[in-house]
Amino acid sequence: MAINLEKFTQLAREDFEFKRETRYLTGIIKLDFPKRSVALHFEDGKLANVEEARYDDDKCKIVIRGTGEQWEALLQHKPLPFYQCLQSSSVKHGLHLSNTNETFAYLPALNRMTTLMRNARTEGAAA
Amino acid sequence: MIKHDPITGRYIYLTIDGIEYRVYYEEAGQGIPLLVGHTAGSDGRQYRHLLCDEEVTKNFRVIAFDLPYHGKSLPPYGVRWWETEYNMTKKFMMDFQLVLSKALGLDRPVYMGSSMGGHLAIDLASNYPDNFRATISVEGALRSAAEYVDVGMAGIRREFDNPNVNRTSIGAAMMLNISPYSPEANVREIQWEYSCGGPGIFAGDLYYYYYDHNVTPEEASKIDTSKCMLYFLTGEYDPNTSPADTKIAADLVKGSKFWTMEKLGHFPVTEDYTEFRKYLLPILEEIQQTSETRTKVA
Repeated sequence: MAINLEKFTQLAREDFEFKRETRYLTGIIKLDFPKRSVALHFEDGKLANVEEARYDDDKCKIVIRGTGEQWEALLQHKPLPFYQCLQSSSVKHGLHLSNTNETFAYLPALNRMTTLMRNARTEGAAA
Repeated sequence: MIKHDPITGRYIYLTIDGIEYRVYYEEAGQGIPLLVGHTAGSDGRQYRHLLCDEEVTKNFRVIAFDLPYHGKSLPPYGVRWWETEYNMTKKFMMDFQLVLSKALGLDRPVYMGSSMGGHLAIDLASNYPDNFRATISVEGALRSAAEYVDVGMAGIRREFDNPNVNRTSIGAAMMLNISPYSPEANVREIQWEYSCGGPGIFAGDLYYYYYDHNVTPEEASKIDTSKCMLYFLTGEYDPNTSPADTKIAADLVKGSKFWTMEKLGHFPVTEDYTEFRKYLLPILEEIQQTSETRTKVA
């Protein structure tokens, strides 16, 4: 997969901005990679659990799903146009990003999450 | 030693379509008037770096305004604005420039705007070529990208004018328009400005940006650059008006000039002014030389 999950979890739990921008969130952020699915479980703003498990989309507050090529392009530190963030990757390159109220409300957190994922990449690993 | 920016700010009263607006503007410099228009949902603070650039202000009087309902330009007093939905229109965008220009006694100013302001540069060159000596369209095109236009105003309001969503998210959404090469402090400043907007104003501005601005190829081909020169500058990382979109407009407007700005996005003036001015200064120099030539001929 695209990221070192253990490293990402540690970064997410220690990052001031990510913790602040996920405040009050309860539910699952689902990250779908071609061969794996990751669920970030939040309870009242606290990242309670990170697991590799596949939940149905309707059980999740926010869903992000990409092909290997899309994740690879998005998680570059200096991505090509228009892979600069999840939304531009969605509109211009077809990455799936849910359009729930929570998706819009937690965009600051999703932006920060993208940065943490970039920082948690396994050297040379693709999606 | 106390440090000040060389910027002064004032309020001016402008009447447009029978409504009086108290409008805030900042200015610096002297010479050829240069009106600078901000992006949708933001305000004139975007131009703070430009206003402090002596290479510009030694020859240009730069005027950065906050459109009504933006920044320090409050909604008009005495109007029950809270009883109607705010939508920015092409007519208001154009009338505002004309009324402000007349009130300040400006002689055929240059207009430069970014994003919806960049679209306006095209509309002004097309509709009021006798009122402006040149316009500079930053991130402008005949129309914004279809992927965004197709969302429709209902979808736009659901994302950007939604009671379930904190206004901080509008700032966060601007990440889609920003180059990954831009200094993070500048990125955060853009997001801050967007988080400060009035309720429903960004979404309402997008009515002009996505729908009321819609220049046909025929209209673009009739723009007379001998009257009002039209320059285009578009950032490589702008998904709303990509360089390819701007090039379509530039190819239609005979005599216009177009540059793609590498490693810049939709907010180049604020994202990385140091890089942006490398494109801007030669344009301003050309405008100055053209103005001097015309003065001598006259």
